[in-house]
Amino acid sequence: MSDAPAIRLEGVSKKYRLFASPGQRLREALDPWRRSFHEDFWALHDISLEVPRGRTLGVLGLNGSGKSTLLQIIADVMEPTTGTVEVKGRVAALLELGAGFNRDLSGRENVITNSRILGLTHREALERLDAVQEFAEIGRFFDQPVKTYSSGMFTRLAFAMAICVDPDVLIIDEALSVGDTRFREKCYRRLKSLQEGGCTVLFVTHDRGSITQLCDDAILLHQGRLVAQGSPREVSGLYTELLTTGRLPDDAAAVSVPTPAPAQAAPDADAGGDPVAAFLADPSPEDRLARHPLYNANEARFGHGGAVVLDALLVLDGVANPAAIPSGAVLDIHLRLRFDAAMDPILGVSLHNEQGVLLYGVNNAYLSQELRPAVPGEVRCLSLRAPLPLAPGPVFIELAVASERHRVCDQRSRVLALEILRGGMFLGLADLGFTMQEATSPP
Amino acid sequence: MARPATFPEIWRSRGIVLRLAQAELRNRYSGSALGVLWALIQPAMVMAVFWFVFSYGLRVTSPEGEPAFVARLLVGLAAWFCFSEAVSNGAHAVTGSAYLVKKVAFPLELLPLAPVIAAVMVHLGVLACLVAGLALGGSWGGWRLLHLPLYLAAVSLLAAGFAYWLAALQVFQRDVAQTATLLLQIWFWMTPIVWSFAMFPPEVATVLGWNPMAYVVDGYRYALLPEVAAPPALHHALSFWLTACLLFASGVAMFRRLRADFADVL
Repeated sequence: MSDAPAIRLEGVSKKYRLFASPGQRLREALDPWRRSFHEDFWALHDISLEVPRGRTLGVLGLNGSGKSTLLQIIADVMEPTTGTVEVKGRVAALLELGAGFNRDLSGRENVITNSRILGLTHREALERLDAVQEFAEIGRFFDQPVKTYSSGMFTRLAFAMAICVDPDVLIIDEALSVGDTRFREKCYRRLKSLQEGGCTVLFVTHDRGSITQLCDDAILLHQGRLVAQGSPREVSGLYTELLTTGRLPDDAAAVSVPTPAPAQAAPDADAGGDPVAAFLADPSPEDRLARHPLYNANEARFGHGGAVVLDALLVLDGVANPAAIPSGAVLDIHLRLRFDAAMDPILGVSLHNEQGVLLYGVNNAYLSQELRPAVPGEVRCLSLRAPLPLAPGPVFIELAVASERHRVCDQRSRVLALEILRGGMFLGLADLGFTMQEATSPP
Repeated sequence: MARPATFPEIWRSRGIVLRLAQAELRNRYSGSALGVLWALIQPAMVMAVFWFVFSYGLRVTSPEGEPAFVARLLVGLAAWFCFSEAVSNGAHAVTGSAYLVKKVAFPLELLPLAPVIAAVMVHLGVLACLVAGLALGGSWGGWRLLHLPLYLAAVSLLAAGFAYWLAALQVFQRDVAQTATLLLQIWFWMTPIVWSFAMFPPEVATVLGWNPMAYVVDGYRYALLPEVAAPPALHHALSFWLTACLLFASGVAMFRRLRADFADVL
């Protein structure tokens, strides 16, 4: 790699002082006896970190975990309360979805001013204008006041500017979550070429797929502390666990994490070794889906009764109920149902994305799979095999049972949530598996 | 930039201050057909109104005889406009630039200078028109004009001192700029622009003479109007420069003490 780290933080902590009013802050700053008028809030505790030159570090953490504060300190916009920060070279930062743009000036003027602030000469700034304009693809809006921009255009311009000033360190705080997929992919490609050119990148995103794809290392912040540091896959696994369970495994306080299973066993299934066998053998008529680790408390439930979806077990490569799975993986879904009336049951499963778009839906009738009639009081398990070549992002599973007359007995929409991680590169909602090769010309 | 900027950093960024000053002007008049010309039209109109009211309405004449009241009035107004514009815009220098404070590493110490420089740029335009007008009217200052940079520096330094104080305080207490605008209006009438010391008994005139802006206004008149016999008194000059330097130094010190909190508050 290289000699000195591009970014070095030692014992960095940040205390925010919370005041009842801005006037109290002024009073404290000017008080001749240095009395205190505030309450403390520690946003960062004792963070020590080194990022070697040319590496890309992903920063993960829940909202309020201190990510943005950390980046603001590295970007030198904010001063740490204690500790030292060393950053080598020109830093371009996209903090909290933005850049230092004056809303009343045009995109062109803002780009020139910001390039100058980042250390370019006036001439250099003018030379790069075309490249910025071309990358941003905002057309005539380039000469309109920034306040007329959509949030997507704003981000495009900010990102285009940041990468065109040849930064040594590039800080991106969730900037890429705005903007359409096509532009995002373009940004990723450009990021790759910046990385190859030796640019050190700090990257905050909630898209765990792009963390694993773009980053060399990752860290996880939780309540202002650096709780994990390691490979992107390991750390994003921990993050997923934090997201779904709200807490970390006890050993995660150690800075380096063991290879984590991005998974947690179903509450009752881990007793017997093989979770699938245990699940299928469990005769309980109790509705346990609300205790499922992937349960979405915002599920929409509807039905006339007669049958109930009791529980589910999702299995990937022997791991029970993984919160995140790579795009293209094949998931085994086992369901337990209870029937309170006699019927010829119809079982349906469908998937929606975050925007509520139906990605795929199917039932046993479509699959020409006849299910044997149910009798009252029966508890029965059914299994599905589900290849998921989907676009990265959250996916919500809907489970439904209906009687033969298409009367809905129990329909649980968005009942389970899981995250699809980036696999191969493609645009759109699903990977249709195209292939390509050079055509050989006929002789 | 979170920590106080060092002098080399400030010096390296001087080009940016000019850009910010230009941007401030362009922004203020963006969308108007006449553009930056408004920066000249506005003071010209106010000057015309004052001229009309005092010369034709109230029929004020200069007790000193020569130079004519009108010339004294216009020169005084020009100097005052520069000062009041720099101070009242300077109060918003940090709050109006939250986009820079929170998003990019930037020597914040430069922010209050941008509105002052913008006001001086407009002022140079006004002065050019004024000097040309006076020359056409037969009142050419000649070598006296070389004194002008001194008084221009004086008004800039005084305004910058206020700008640092007000810009820093305004971040925490938004009433600051409003109060400043009000006090500026009172100060205008305390300054010998539409009146002159000769209208008052000597004891009162002596007290009013310590007003720092009186030194500036008198200095401008000395530099621009050949009929004015003497520059401002030495003791007034000394007290002005002492006041202005103290105000500037304390303003910068104050600014640097409070700046670490700017990003937290804005």
